[in-house]
Amino acid sequence: MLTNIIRRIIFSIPVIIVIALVSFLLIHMVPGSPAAFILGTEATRAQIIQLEHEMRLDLPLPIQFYNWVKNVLRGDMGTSIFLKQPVTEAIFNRIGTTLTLAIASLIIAIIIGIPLGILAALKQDTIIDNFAMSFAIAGMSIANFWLALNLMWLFGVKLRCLPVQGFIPLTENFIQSIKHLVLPAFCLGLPSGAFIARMTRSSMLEVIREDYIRTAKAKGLKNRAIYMKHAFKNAFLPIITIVGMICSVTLGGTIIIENIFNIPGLGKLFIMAIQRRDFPVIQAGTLYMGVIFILMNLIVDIIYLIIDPRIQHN
Amino acid sequence: MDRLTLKDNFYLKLFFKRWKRLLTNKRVKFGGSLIIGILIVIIFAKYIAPHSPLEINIINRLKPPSLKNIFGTDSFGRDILSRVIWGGRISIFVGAVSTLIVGIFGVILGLISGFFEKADKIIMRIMDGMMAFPGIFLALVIMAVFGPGVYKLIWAISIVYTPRCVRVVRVSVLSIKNLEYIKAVRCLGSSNLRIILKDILPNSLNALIIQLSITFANSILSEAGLSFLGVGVPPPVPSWGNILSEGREYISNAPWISFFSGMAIFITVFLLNILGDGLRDILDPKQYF
Repeated sequence: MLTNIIRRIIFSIPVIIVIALVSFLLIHMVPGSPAAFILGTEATRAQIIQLEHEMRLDLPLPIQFYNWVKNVLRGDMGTSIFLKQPVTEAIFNRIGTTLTLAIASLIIAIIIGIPLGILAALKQDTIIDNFAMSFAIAGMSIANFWLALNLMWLFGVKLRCLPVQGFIPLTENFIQSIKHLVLPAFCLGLPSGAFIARMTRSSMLEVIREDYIRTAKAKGLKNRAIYMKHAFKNAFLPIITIVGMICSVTLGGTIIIENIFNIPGLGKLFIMAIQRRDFPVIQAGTLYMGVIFILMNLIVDIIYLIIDPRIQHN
Repeated sequence: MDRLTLKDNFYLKLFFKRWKRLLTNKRVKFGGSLIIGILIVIIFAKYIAPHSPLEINIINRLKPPSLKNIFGTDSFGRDILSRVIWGGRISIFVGAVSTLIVGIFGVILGLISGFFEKADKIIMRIMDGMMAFPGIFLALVIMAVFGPGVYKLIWAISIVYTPRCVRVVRVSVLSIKNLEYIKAVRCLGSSNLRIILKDILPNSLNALIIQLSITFANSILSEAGLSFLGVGVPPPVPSWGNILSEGREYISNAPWISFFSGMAIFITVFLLNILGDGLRDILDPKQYF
């Protein structure tokens, strides 16, 4: 088991190197130079050369990459040009907000997805199944920013019962905080919930055809015990594999949702960085997004190894 | 090689054989026919749209839906219905071309990766690395680096979705390439190229078609998202995403601007997803979820 875990960790190293390369190179592929990118179109040649020198952008690329990796490993990702603040600090200040939003959205996704998927599987090919799956496809097809705008209009403009802007930390004022979180978390969680519902349905359908479910039925167990205890436990395993993907979708979603609801999290930071050409932040953001995804997948793989003993044989 | 050309209409025959089977599926019929309907509307936009999408009429600005302007007007007094119809052209064009590019690169890289083990290691590490970024974020950074524009947008979306397609094609190649009939044709002296094109590719097509229908839906959503964030299709040319983006400022007094453009995105993507599900039902019944 330990060797398996170590193997997984080693396997993810090349991917992390690719992520680092992409994060680093993307900004260097800009037509002209990164310095010209930061200064915008009105900069003079002399200004560009000066900034290049200040930021050590005149060194050869491999040396720049080496320096950048060295600094990143020390926790130094440079200084934000616009915020005039170390990038690590800027990210650290906002990560709590984004995490709160992401976790809230995952909770909503699970609340929507799992019951819907189980219900659809147990009532396969009935109206309930059709309705649940149409709802799931609709949830996957809806653009979350459009959903956000519609809900903002409904709850903020028409009913005036929920705040539609800003964020309050959970520790400050719990009830107000939840009120601020509901709409953004729902918009962010719905597509993931739809995805979980489809995955749960297909995985439940597969499991309830297994022999041991028939055995359980033959033993005279109650339906509830069969489905909740025997079937769902096994059906849950494949659902865990899509957690990595869902995290990725959620992180991507925070960019747009934080922007619409004016939530001061990482998504907003990255959008600001992109609009203001703050390239140390863009670089750090790209790296952060990629590494989080790899770490999540690694954790999922390890959890999988622990809870499903069948995998260890291969 | 001459038998690989369309002389014996190999792919064409295959296509029609599958086509007949596809038309028996309810979802394919429902999704497919309505999408063809949408395509007809946007192709004949010139005759169907009641007004010009760019015609400014300041006196008539921010008017709610009425008989004259069925979807209302925006802050320049432009007719939203016409803008949504013309915007569909750009949005669906971006989606379709991106899907085509994804398909081409996905097939080439996927076949190489599945067939040649050494290339596989390099290609898949790069693809894994690219897939680690949330799609919208990667596209956003690419657009920020290269600047706005329809063709840059198409490339950004293609770059984001190619790795997923490569992976799907690769997996299907891997599952086929060690089967007996491939060994048999190899014994008969077929070259690698012939095996790839004539024996492996046709068997990967199912997986590819399903993946591309999802890619099409996602590309349209991505166009909307990027244009919404202001790095996609530059105004005044309408696209579903940038109409929605304009509507955002007027959400409290003119919600119809964003409502109808978003509805167009939703319906199109919904139909594409239904079509994709139908295709999956028929072409790959085992993998339904």
